[in-house]
Amino acid sequence: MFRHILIPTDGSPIAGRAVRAGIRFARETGARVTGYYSYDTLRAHVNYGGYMASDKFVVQMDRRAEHVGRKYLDAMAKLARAARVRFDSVCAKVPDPAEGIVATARRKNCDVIFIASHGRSGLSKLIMGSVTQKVLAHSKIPVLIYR
Amino acid sequence: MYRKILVPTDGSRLSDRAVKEATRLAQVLNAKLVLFHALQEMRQPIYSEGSSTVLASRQRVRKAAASRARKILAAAAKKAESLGLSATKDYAAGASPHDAIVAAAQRHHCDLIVMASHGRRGLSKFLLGSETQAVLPRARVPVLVVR
Repeated sequence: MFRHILIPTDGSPIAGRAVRAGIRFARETGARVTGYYSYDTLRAHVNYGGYMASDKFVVQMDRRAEHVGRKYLDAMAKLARAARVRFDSVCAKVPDPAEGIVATARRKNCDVIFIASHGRSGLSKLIMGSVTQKVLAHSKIPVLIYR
Repeated sequence: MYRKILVPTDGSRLSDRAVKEATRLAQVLNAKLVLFHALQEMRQPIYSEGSSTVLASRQRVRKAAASRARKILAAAAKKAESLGLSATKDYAAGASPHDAIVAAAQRHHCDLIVMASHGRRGLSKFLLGSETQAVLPRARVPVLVVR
């Protein structure tokens, strides 16, 4: 059965619910968990009021994003520890979150991805989030769409 | 966590795999398994040019579909049984297969759907089968997509 679950988060409340369910799922199946958060500051770089942001500013932005990601992943680690689930995490800077999720699942030899049906930019319950949709399209391993 | 799992099957090779995965998962989670087949809408020829066509009666078409459903479900149940789990079987028609699947999940109070990424018409050029794609936004419960 499942041995290693990848649980991506974007820090949104919906993802938070998926994280809690995913860790419970891991506990009941006896699997370990890798938490995943990715960020990308390229947009800030391009859109900086028509000016290019300085390299120093980009580095600052990256550091901030990394810090935010670590915070979410630390919270996840805490939940995993409480549930006695083996846990590690990946916080990465990638241009495309879905590609990052699929690539990390492959690199870490995960056998299932546990992901919310939509995340931060989820407008409606009737449509699936774009990241989730893309993960589903590109993943070679099973994907659990949580709602 | 998940107490009752619905597995839609159309008898294709990929949905066989979904049955296998779902059976294993049900065993690990100590959950019940409901095998479900959505009846295909039968397209009857209205006329046939240059040859005589005997129109099958609606009833006969329905009967044939039901017997095919029973055959598919019996094969799936046998597979689950061989892994050591006895499953409930059900088939029904809906406005479309995905509607029938979503309705079946509610009717049986399933809290998880496990289904193949592609079904019988599994054109791999599409990243996700049409019925799976249609179930995802409509399902009220999590969906585990198996490939």
